[in-house]
Amino acid sequence: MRSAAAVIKGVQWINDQEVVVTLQGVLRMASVCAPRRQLLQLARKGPTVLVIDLTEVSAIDTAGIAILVEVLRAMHACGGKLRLTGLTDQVKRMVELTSLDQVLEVYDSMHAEYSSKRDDVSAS
Amino acid sequence: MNHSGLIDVRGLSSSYGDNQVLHQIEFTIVRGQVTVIMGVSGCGKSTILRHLIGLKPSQPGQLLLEGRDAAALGTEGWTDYRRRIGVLFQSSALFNSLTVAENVAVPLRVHSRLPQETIRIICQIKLHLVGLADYSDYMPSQLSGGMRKRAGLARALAMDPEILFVDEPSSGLDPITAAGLDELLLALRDALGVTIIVVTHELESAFRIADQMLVLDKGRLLVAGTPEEVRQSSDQRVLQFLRRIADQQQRHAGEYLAKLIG
Repeated sequence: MRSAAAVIKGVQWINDQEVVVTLQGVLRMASVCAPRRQLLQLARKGPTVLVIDLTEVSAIDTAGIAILVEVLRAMHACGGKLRLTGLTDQVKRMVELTSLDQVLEVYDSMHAEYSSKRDDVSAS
Repeated sequence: MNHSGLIDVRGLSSSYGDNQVLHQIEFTIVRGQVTVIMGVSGCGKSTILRHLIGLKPSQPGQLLLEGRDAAALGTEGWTDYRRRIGVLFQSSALFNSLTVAENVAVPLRVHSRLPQETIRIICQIKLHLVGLADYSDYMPSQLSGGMRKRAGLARALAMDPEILFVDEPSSGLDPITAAGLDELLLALRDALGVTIIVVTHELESAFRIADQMLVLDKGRLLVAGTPEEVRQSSDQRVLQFLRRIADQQQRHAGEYLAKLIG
């Protein structure tokens, strides 16, 4: 069975320092290149906090985990932080299996300060 | 529960020359389960594995992969199937001229178009999973047998296979590392839904990880079922295997003498 490839559904700047990215679909080896490029471009703009909302990501593999690590490194290089939120069951199990939960900030749900302000905007 | 077969083995017989090593084997591999194939050395379990990964051809109708006859798959069909499987061979089969990380990267470089940095991170994650994160730059010759086994597993996992075949995972490993490997296999099943086929004669490991067990003897399937069903088998040969009772020597004196004096 084929599932929808991962895409960036929305990018919402909360202010000039904090940005929320909403991913959607299945983040797997065959489909990670485009969201990887977009996420790294965003990270290099230098936000202090980049939140990746994974609520609508139904599955992830190691390649998907690897691009999150690349974004983490890009954020660190700019002195910023990466946060993951809204992990579905399979994504959560993969994050734990690969010990990613030990190296970055993982939240069960969107911070109240973000969820109250954000509106999804189509990625450009 | 949907028990549709990912792999169906139907009346599989197999020979090496005149020596028939499998006799009319029948079983089904269910998606997302751990199937353990057990039996004493030489019982034919590794030969089954060779058929399942396409290293030994099967007769028409004897092996169905997702309902398709393996004998009619063709080169393209087998290439597609092999992209979706990972295999840890008993010998680990590492490339001796490559570092551990380079070994893990081989299938990713061959079968994916991922950037080098993504591949590097995937390799590091896989080596972390098998407890070899600090050995990525080592050569295979610098590793112990158990570490080579784990490096081979990291490579087998590189592409996040849907089906993972593992031949004797515990051989050469200390009990703690072996238990860790069992836990990893179960975590892969749970986190990624990987279907896992393990060939082993290690009873403790088999009962720890199996959803389904097959016990072979002299090329024949003695029993197939859940671990509990296998434990309750009344087959004398199965009981002997489970209770680790040695075979009795039954060679006739005359035959033995003939062997001795030639």
